Amino acid sequence: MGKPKIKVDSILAKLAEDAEKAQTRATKASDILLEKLDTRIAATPYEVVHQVDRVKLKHYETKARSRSSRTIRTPLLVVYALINRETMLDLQPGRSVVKRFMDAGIDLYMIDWGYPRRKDRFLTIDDHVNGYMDDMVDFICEKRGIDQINLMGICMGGSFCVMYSALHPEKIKNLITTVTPTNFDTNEGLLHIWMRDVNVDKIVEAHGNMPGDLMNFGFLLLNPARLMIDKYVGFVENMDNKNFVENFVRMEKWIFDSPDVPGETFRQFVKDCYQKNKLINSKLELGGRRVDLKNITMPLLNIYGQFDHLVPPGACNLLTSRVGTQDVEDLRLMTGHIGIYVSSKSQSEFTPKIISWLAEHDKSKTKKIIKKKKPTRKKRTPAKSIPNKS
Amino acid sequence: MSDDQDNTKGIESVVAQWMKTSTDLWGTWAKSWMDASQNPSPGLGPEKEKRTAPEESLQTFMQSFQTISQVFSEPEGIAILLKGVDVLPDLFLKVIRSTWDSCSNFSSQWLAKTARINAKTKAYQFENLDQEIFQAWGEIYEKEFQQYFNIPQLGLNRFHIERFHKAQDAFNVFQTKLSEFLFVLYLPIEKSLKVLQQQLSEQMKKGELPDSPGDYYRLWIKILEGHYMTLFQTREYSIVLNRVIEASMEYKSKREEVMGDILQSLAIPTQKELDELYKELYVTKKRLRVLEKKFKDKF
Repeated sequence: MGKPKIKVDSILAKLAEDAEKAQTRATKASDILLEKLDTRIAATPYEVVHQVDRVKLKHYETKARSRSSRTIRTPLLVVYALINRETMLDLQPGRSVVKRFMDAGIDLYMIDWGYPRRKDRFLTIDDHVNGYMDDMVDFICEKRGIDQINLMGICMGGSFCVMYSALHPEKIKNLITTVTPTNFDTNEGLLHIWMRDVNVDKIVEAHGNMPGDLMNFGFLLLNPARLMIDKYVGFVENMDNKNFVENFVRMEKWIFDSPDVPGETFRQFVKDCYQKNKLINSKLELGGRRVDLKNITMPLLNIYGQFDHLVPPGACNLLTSRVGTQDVEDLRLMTGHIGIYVSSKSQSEFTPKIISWLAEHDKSKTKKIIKKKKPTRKKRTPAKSIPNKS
Repeated sequence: MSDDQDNTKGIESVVAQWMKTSTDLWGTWAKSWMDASQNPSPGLGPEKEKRTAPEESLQTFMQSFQTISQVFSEPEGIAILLKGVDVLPDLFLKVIRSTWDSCSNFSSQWLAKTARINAKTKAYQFENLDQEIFQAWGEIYEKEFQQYFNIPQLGLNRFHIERFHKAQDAFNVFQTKLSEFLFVLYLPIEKSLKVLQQQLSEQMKKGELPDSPGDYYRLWIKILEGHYMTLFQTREYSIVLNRVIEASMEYKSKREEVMGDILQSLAIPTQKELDELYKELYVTKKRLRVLEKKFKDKF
C-alpha cells in the first residue's frame, strides 16, 4: 500500500486543532466583549470657535508652543468630505493625523459639516464653497489678523478646496489635496462607472437628501466579498485581541456614521462632476462664476492612493497639470482610500510629508495676487511613489 | 283579450290603491312629524318654534314625493308604469346576457394571458435562467397586469384611490427589480463555489489539498472577489443596479403621496408642504447673506 495522495489525517488534526483554538478564542472573546472597551473616536480636545447653521469650525489648540516659535505659522484649515465624518482624522490613539499635526505645532482648524436635515436639501455646492467655507476662512483670517491660510482637502472636501482656491486664490497660501477626485472621466473606479447612468433626479426627488445609509450600502457593494464577509470573518478570528476589537469597533463607528448629503449638492456633484466632468475642464460654475483651475496659483501638493478603489489614481493625477501654478507635487502612496489616513505604515509617510512640505512652503512671504498677470513658472516635480500597502 | 283587459284593469286599481295609501301614509307621517317639531314642549324657548334646515328639507322632499305619487296614481301614469312592467323580463334578459358576455370575455382574456405567461416561462431552461426570467416577468407585469392599476377611477375618492393604486403598482415593479438585482448579486456566489470545486478537484488530483479550513475559505473569498469585480464592471450590472434604484425611488415617491393624503386628513403638514417652507427659508437666508455682505463691503 502506497502513501495516500491526500493527507486526511493531517486535515483532521488541523480541524481538531482549529476547533480547540476557536473554543479558547470564544471564551476569551466573551470576556473582552463584556469588559469595558475604549472605543472612543475623535478624542483629541478641540473648541468650536465658529458656527454657521449646522456647520462648525473646530480649533485644536496647541498649548505646548507659542505662536511665534512655530515653524508653520499660517493656520491650516482641513476640509473633509460631506460623506462620512472628519472624525476619521482622529480615529484612534497613535494613528491620529490631528495629533501629529498638533505635535508639529500646526495651528489646526477643521470644518465639521454636521448632519444635514431635510431643511438643508436645497443647499448647493456654491452654498458650501462660497458660503460656509468662505465664512470659515474669513473667520480664521480675521481672528489671526492675516490675509491667507493654508488649505487641505480630503476626498470630496478636496474637490471643494480646489473650487474654493480657484474662486478665492487671494485667500489661500498653500493648497493640499488628498485623495481628491477632480477628473471623473475614468474607468478605474467602479463609482465612476456606476455614476454615469444613475438617475440622480429620481433619488433627490424621492429622498430630498441623499441618505447616508444608502450611500454606505453602495460603498459596501463595491466589494461585498471583502466588506460584507471577509471583514467580519477577520473580526471573529481576532475577537480575543482587545486592541484589535477596540480598533475594529472604532472603525465601524466611523464608517457607519454617515450624514445625509444635501440633495442639491449631491445632484450637482453627480451631474456636473461624475457625468459631465466639468471640474477638471474648468467648466464648472458656482454662483454664476466659472471655476477656472488656472486661477490656482498657490503651491499645490496632491496626494493619492495607488490602491484607492473609491477615488482611483486616474481621478486625482490630472489636477497638477491643469492648475495655474508650476509649484506642484504629486505623491502616490501604495495604499487605499482610508488606509492613507489610518494605516500605521502610511502614517509614517503621509503626515510627515505634509508637515515638511508646509514647513518648506510656509517660509515664503505671502504673495499678493495680481490678476491678469501670468504666474512665474517653476519646474513641475514628477509624482513620487512611496511603497506602502494599506 | 277581454281577460287581459280585465286583468289590466284589476292591476290598475290595485296599483292606484297602493299609490294612494302610501302617499297618504307618508304625507300624514311627515305632517305629524312637522307638527310635533313645530309645537315645542312647554318650557322650551321661542327659538324652538323656528323650523330647522333639515326639517324644511324633509318637508320639501315629502311634498315632492306626494306630488309625484299623485301623478303616478292617475290612470295614465299607471298605464305607463304597467307598460314598463311588461318590458321588464326583456330588460332583465338583456342585462344578464350583457353581464355574461362581459364575464366570458374577461375569463377568456385571463386564459389568454395565462397562456402567454406559460409560453414565456417555458421558453427558459434552468441552465439559461439567469436574470432573464426576471426581465420576462417584468415585461409580463407591465403588459398584462399594470394596466389594471391604471383603470380610471370615478367619484369623490378617485384621486386617493388612484394614488393608492400607483403606490401598489410601484411596489410591484420595485419587487420585480429587486428580485432581479438580488439574483444578479447572488450569481458570483454560485459561480465562485463551482470554480472552488473545480480547483479543489485539481488540487486533490495532485495531492495538494490545503490542511487548514482557513485556506479553503481564503481560496473561496479570493475567487468570489474576482467574480464580483468582473460582474461590477459589466454594463449589464450597471443597468440592473440603476433599474432597482429607479424603481425603489419611484415606489418611495408614490408611497409619500399616499402618506401625504393621510397626513392632510389628520391636519399634519405633509413633506411637500414642509419642502415648500424649507425652500422659502433657504431663499430668504441666501438673500439675507448677500445683503449682509453688501452692507459689510459698503461700511
